[in-house]
Amino acid sequence: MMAFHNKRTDEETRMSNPNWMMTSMADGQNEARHDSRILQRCPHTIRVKFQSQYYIIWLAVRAHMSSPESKFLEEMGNKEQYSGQWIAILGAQVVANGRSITDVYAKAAKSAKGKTPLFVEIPDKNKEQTLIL
Amino acid sequence: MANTPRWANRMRFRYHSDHNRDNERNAVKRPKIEIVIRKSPEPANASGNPELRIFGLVDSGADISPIPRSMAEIIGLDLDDATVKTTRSASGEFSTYRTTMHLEIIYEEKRVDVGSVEVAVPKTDPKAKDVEEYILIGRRGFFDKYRITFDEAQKIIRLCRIGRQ
Repeated sequence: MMAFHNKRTDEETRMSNPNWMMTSMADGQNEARHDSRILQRCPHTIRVKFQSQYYIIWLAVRAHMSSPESKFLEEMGNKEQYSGQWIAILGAQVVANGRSITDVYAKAAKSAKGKTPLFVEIPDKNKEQTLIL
Repeated sequence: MANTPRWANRMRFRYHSDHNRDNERNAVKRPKIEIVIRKSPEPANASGNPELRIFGLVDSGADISPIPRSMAEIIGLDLDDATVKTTRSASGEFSTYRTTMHLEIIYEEKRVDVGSVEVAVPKTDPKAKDVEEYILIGRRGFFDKYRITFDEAQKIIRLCRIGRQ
């Protein structure tokens, strides 16, 4: 079972690997074709020329959380206490909560002091939510 | 848009966990991204141009971006009866106000300006219940600016600015 969990796809490995991977091309035509294929497949790349050869460098980039607030939300341990409610997060803190976003926005505005909190609805833990929009 | 930094041309986001569970008790993850919405592109101002930071569900099936009326009222969108049109969703037909809002994406703790997107704000109607609960980022104004890839296996969404290879 451990072995199964330790298996990683190429994508996961690339995303978590802090090192660069490099490839080189000499022929101009092949280079252009190769270049475009690589760039389509892997968005975080740069092309550099060194000693008459072009190098494609993959930059290992994580798909990460967008803000400290979303990271806090992801790691928040006591979400169930807000089940079915809207919460406002600022930094690593829930600054307001309530049943409607309008109320929570009004409460959060008092403590936000010019900053913009992240507003999130915590789904009701007793309701299964499969979306078909 | 002309001042979009180079790093913002290619972005990738993990699917957002909605903290609820499916039938098999697995956490449900959806292609939601953190966004900031406000009425106009000018800097946010609590009295004249307030902004709201929330998660929006990227929805290739929506022609435009429906947003709940409560959110439209918070950011002060103009809801004019002259703009009302019929909109159809999975739950039926209902009337919506049509207007535009300014959209930004939050990526690596920075803001990426998307620009103006067309939005539909439902008038009070039980058939608009689903739209009243979620903010969707539809195609018009968004999908025409980014090449968008949903990687369901990896639970990653990639945005690549069109014309910025």
